[in-house]
Amino acid sequence: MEGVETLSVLLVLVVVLPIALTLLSLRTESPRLTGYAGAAGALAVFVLTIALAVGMAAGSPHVVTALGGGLRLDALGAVFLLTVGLVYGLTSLYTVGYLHHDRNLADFTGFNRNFFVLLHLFGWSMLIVPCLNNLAVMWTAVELTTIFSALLVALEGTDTSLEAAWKYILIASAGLALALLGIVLLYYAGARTLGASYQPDWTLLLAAAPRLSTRLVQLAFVVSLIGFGTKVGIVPMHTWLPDAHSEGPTPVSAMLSGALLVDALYAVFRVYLIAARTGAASSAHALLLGFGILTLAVAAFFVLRQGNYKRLLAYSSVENMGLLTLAAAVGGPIALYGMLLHVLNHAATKSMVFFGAGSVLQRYQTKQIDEVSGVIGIMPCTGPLLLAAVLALGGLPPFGMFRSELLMLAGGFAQGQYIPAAVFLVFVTLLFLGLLFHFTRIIWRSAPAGVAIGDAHGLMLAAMGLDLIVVVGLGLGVPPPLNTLLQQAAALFGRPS
Amino acid sequence: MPEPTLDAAYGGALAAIFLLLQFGLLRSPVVDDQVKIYIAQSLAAAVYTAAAGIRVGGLDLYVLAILTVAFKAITIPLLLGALTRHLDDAAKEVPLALNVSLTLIVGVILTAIAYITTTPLHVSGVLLPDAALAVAMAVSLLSLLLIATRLNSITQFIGFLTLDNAVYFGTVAIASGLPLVLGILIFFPLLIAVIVFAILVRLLERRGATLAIDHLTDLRG
Repeated sequence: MEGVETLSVLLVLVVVLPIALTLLSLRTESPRLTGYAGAAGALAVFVLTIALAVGMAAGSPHVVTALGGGLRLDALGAVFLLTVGLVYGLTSLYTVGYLHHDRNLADFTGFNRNFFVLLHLFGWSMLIVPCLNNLAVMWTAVELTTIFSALLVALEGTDTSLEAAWKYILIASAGLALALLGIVLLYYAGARTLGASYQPDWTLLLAAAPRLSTRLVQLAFVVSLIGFGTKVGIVPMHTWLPDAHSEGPTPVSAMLSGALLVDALYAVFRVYLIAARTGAASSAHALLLGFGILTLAVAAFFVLRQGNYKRLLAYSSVENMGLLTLAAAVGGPIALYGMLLHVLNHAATKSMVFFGAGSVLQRYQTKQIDEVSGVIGIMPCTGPLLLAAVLALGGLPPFGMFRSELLMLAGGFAQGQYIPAAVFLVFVTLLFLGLLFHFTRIIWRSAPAGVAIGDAHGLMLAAMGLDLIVVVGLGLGVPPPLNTLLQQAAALFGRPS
Repeated sequence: MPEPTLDAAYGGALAAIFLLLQFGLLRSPVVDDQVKIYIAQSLAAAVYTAAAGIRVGGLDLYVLAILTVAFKAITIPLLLGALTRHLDDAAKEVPLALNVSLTLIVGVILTAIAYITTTPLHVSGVLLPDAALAVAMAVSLLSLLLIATRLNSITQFIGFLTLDNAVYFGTVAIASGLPLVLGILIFFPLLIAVIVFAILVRLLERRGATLAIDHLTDLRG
């Protein structure tokens, strides 16, 4: 019992610490203190999420609640919390080095303060999404992620960043309004068995699922999938995504790509888990499958023809969201285990590539692929790290994504889902070729004249190094507590017989 | 199927006004008029909330009706007005990606789809025995149509606001036991309007008095 209470305290700390960091950033005059304290605090949050995951894997029944049930974390939530914690911690570390580049600008203190205030608020809003049981409150948290991240995208105040932020907030908010309608429909479906006035708690609705009206749940799922799917980057609602990723400051791109997209996917999964226990299961499954394949196909096309490396990485994220959606639709213990592992792998790998891309951008001052070359010679530490990150993103061994992609593929075959598995294989290969094609040029070709040799700030390299440890570590083996957690989370998808 | 009542007649009339105003938005060629239509639609939503309060007997619905007027019919339109004052007359016109008559035809088809898909669900709302969900769905789809076919940033933002109105209307009708969600649906559009206002004003300062979306096309592919 004592162990459970400790975990509750940890959960509350995870939720409270980023707010404390926000207040600290607001009150501090020194940019150095804001940065270092912010990074240390965010890394502490990451450590707390690891401790929670380890503690939950050891315990039974793998659920932690706090604040009178207001916070509820199960194994599925813990996987996503860990993912967000990882990206939030490492990005805060990277940001200290990234902003060091601008330290001589006029009003740097103010810019630095705004950046960290919003970064902590953005991190906080993403951290609470997997900890909330009430679907309406969870929706609020997802909407808050939009607001804080749109402000971060707009922060540099250039024409294109303002335009990207405007497009992002309009499209994402419109999508989320529909998602809320989906939750209201679920609530109405539940009201027939749960009474006219109740809280739309996920656990309540899940328990009532077999008694919910099939057609209402079908409509609720379609509307929620389109709504939350807008934030996931599911095609054709993805149009905001490449702009926001490419025009926002690079640390923000890493947070959007590694953590925000899967946070929204988590919201889709919560509704899907309810729908999968109703008569709407087969149509929900078909929708996930269809959107997954469409997303993969369109993203692969844009990856191949992209001329801007930050947009390229954004489309690679869209592609990975397609992979995750497809694997969730395929189902079965192996594919779902692989899918959840892939959430973590993608977060670590993609943030690492974006960190590298941000360092390259600061040195070369351009996002165009054909204007950047010879990074390996110009940046002796960032170059090899970026190369490793790109190979990892391409799904090569010994990196983590190789393992999770192989598991998703094997899971597809094990389920007898040969066509989705084949589609998966084709597009993963295309993605690998596209990445290799563009990044070989960036990394290897001889450098253009006029770019001075020099490397990124030590903390930027440190953030990439820590990512590398995670990416290689998960490639070599899955630690036993994580293994238990992933199995528990995958089991939540299982349809009760 | 409940008996037709006087209540249902009032509800039906409000729902019809709510929906017709959305068609008015699709027809209107000038941003200033669109803001006025949005105010009228928000007022219709507020009256419906108050009427639902009388019917269901919930104090929270009265409070929500007042908040709807304060936020959606006064504060947000004031923000929109402050934004349009920056615009010259040319920038207040709404460029069309699809002409008005075709847009209205598509709008009628979308409304029919909303009715056909939701009627078999037998969703019964306060004062609206069978049309509640259909109206919410129809206005949602028409809002998306507005965003997709009207190339003016403020019009597109009004499209988001009416989408929010639609979800709000539907929630009052079928889930009046969820004041939390209704509160969210009143508060968040205001918050987003403030942020959008800040972003668009900065863009205006940089680009001069044109907010037509066809000028916002630096980002493609």
